[in-house]
Amino acid sequence: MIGALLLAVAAASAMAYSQSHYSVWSFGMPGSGLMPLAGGIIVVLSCLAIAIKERRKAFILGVSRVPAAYATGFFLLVPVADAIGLLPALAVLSVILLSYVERMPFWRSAIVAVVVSCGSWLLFERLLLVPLPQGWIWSL
Amino acid sequence: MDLLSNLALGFGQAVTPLNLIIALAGCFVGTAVGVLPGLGPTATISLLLPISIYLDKTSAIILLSGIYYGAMYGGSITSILVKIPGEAASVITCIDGYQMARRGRAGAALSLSAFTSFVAGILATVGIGLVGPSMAQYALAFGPLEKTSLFILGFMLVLGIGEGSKIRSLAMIGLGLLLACVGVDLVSGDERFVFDIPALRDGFSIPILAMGLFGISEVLLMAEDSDDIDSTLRPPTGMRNLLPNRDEIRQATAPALRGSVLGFGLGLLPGGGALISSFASYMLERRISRTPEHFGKGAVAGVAGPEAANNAGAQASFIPLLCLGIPANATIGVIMGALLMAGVTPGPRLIVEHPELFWGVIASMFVGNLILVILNVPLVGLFVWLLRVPRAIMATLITFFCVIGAYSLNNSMFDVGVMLAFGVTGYGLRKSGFDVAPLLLSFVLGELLEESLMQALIISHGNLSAFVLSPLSAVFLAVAFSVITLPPVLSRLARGRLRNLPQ
Repeated sequence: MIGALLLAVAAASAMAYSQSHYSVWSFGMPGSGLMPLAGGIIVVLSCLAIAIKERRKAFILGVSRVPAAYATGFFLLVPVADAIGLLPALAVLSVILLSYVERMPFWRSAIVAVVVSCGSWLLFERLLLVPLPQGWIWSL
Repeated sequence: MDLLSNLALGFGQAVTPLNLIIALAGCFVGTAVGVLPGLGPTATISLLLPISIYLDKTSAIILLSGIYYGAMYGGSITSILVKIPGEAASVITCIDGYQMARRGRAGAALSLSAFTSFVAGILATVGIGLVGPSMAQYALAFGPLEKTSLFILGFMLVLGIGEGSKIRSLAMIGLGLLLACVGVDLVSGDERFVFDIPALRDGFSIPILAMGLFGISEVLLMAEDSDDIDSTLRPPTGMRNLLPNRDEIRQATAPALRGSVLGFGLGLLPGGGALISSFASYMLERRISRTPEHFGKGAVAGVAGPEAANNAGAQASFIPLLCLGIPANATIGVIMGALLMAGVTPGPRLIVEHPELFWGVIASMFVGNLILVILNVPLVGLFVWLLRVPRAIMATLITFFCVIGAYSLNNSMFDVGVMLAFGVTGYGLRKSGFDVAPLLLSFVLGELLEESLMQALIISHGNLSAFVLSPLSAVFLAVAFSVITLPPVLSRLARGRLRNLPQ
């Protein structure tokens, strides 16, 4: 139920924002605010219906330790990748998650991270010629 | 007799050593591209356009179309094994294909996907040869009004696809519509929900959403269920378990045939026909099944029908291009570009002016489908071997591929951030009991619906009755209405009859 309520609030905010910025109907034709209004109404009404239906269910708000650690890692990935490059950042994230969160031996985590990073480098950077970000730290 | 001589002309073009090698290369590259998240067939075909200049025009289109339907199959591999759809049309395969993999039937699901795609491809190719050129003329009557009604029908079908309650699916459809609004509005030019971030002007891209909502959220769910044995994928052991058993083949035959016909019919329609065909097939199979409760839990028909429809639709979508010059989707649009670069203008005169090209492509579809089966069925064992990778390492692999795949789309770290944010949001939604498949499908349809709705309302001067005055549009709306109203009415009638039966 908490998820439905959060979603309703987010959709209502988006709908309010769109109504204050875009017109629903202008110059005799539909405006850019029509679709956000339609989408917002659908989300708000259906989420309210879910909340009413499930009002007797207990309010449970909690996240387990492991997914929370993964989510934090994902959150930090972009700024770290900007600094040290994408592949090193992914390798560091993998070692941390595998050894500290998943309790895998450190040497095994490091081998997995290095092998997957090297494989990704070969596939994307060398074979598919995707210029992966290097990070500003290496240009110092 | 005409058809046979035309096909002979086509096979004369397609079955040359060079074109066979080109078809094999196209199918191989397409499958690889479909397996790798991010780099979709549109980007790959665009990258290979310069190479196609050096090829003969028939060889060029054989290469590009091989990549196209190879990618369609490749997208299903990741849908079944790791629940990451390579293409929007593969979202449906995630539902039951992944559940089959969880039950240790990954090999059977992959083989069924390959075989049903092959059957559908052959049937669609025969259909294209027999009725395609004449049926394509009807597609000319397919304007914005009809497209809008088709997309509305698509939304009604999506409503029935999601796991769990309809009201939750409806909420996801609304959210998909809201997400589809981000970016510059094509009609008014307004920047919606852009907040002065240049990267948001083009809106969110489908692979970013798919990788986040399915791939990253699956990583988080896998991380959460680390102690739950049932949550880990069970790799099948022994050759017998890699192939579908007799019962599974029996269950798959009729859905594959129905999916082929449905996919072929809808694939002929310009716009979103090929995309809608996979979920129309899923809905049809669930409606007519004697055990609808098995859908969403690894039903064979839930894999066979949509896979057949997807492949038949993909092949039929060449007809609007070759016969009318209308690209059915972005990938076909790039192939059209290749034709124009080769000095061939697709349209009604193409069959008359370049019969060797038209029938060569048709014949190459036969060859391409055969190559796909020969290429992929022996590889099923290799793909399934991936499931032996421990859960934590699999999560690392998925994260790597999703992150680099998201980056490679536009060489942008912003896309990576958006994809990861969608991953965490998708995890939250799935934990709250929402199914993300209707969200993604609604996002894809939302963009198409808005564009055609705006065009339709401008053409009809805001007159909504135009939607029912067009016969084709009225038929789509009637089917959409019946899709949503008939099941509850029928189940109420059935319950009433049961109540009236003597004890």
